[in-house]
Amino acid sequence: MTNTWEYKQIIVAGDTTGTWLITNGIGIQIIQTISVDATRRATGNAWGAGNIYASTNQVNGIDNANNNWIMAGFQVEVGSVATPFEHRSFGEELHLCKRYYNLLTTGSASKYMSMASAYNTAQVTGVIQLNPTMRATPTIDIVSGTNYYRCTFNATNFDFNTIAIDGADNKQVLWSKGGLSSLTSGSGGWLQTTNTASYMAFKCDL
Amino acid sequence: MIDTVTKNISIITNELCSYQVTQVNTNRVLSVPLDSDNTDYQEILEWAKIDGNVIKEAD
Repeated sequence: MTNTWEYKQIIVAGDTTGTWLITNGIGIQIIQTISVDATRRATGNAWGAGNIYASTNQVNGIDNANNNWIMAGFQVEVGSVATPFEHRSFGEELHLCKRYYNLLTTGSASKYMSMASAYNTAQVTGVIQLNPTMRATPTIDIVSGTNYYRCTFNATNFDFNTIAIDGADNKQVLWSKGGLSSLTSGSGGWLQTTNTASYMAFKCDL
Repeated sequence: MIDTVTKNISIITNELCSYQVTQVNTNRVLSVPLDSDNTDYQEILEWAKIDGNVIKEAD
């Protein structure tokens, strides 16, 4: 351990025995050990069975209150060569995430989501452009609750519990809501939330 | 986990356009398009293969 920044590259040859969990459960854990009991140590650079967290070379990193453990970057990747760290801005990372999940609005009673039009006297529709283009045609992800959503036309509110996809691809979604009454066909308005619990997102995860 | 699946008929084409999915122990609702690349759609198809699971007709 030193008082200067160090770059460490560790290549771990995969275990050729047993099986790896490849579902959405935990298949691999990476633990960085600062200090560990001797019973949890074993010979390094070898696979073994048991709850072993460190090699026999492990030092005690908590033997002094003035010790510090500071990490600037950590990267795990498949292959035999460590590639340079990727330094993405928050904006870049957010944009990439939105290809798979795009939260349009949440957490407020008055969040405006889309322009809307009265398709006829009982049904409303609206179009939402997806930015960025999503991986595939997305699911609308919402929470259902009594009058959680509202369309307003001609200064009159029409409340309802959910909406649905009427047509979509990975660039746009046509949403709709039926079962209303007394709409004036052709009216223009908007769609909004009415409850702090209501939200709408588009999901298209792998 | 899927609780119910209901067909949604397009107000424009009057044809099946998506599935409305409710889930167990939550008020979360998914409106799922008929896209084989959509994993929620794939999950519905698998769910429907299980004995006792029936996709409901539109309300």
